[in-house]
Amino acid sequence: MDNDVDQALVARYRAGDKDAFAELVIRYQRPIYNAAFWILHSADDARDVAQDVFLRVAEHFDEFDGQHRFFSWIYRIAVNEALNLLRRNGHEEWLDDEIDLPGADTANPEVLAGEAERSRHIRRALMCLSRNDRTVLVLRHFSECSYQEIADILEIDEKTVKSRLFEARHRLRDALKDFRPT
Amino acid sequence: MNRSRQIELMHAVLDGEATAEEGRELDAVLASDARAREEYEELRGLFEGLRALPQPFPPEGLAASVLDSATSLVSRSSRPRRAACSFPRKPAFVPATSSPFRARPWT
Repeated sequence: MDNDVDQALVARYRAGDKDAFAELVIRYQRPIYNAAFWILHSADDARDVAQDVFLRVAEHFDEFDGQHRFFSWIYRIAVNEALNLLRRNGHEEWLDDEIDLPGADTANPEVLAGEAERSRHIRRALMCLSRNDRTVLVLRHFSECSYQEIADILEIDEKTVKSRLFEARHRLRDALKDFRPT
Repeated sequence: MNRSRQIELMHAVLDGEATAEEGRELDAVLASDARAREEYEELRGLFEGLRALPQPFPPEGLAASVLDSATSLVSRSSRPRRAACSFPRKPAFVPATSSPFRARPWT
């Protein structure tokens, strides 16, 4: 996300331009929903979390420190909301294969079946990871955050981000071996 | 170069966080070490697999629902700045009736 655009929207909203908040919601609804979805693996929970995140942003906008990136602030709220919901629900692991995936861009049924199977294995393996492992992987691979951005969001140092990513990938590879067809 | 440095470089390069010098350092390792090449290819496959996962779209009407709720929230607030702020009216929230994934490219 372009920080200059965020800063301009934040400044407009603080100056009383209500449309700026709507623009922030539209700008961030997909990435926030997406991150929540992969942490929670539930479309309904991700929708609820995304809604709660934007309401928290509206409610606590005065507390946002303009010296920091809006991107990191809203992601931090989203990650905390998603992890809190996981704790409340008592879900540490999800093996929900009921959610349909879109078809790949090919007409070859064998390729489609192969890709769908591979995708299913990765999703199942992801859901076997701890929430901390999954969160760091989601931020890096799906939200495409840099090490520094992940460090800001999770309020840890960059070295810890690297180490968490390394360990999470190691465990993901191990989990994938368990799902590999024999 | 020890194994742990090799692995660190592999992750950094695949994450796009390595410097040009680190990239060259890894290239040199991969050119001379079959085990490192195998390890790197396996890790690259994992990155590709994650990258290829379809990304869900938010349900239709999420933004409208948020803005409606924010309007209520603001109108309940007793603080002057928020009390003076009203959000533009949007259509009512329409819940998703299908999968969060849509068969169109992630843009």
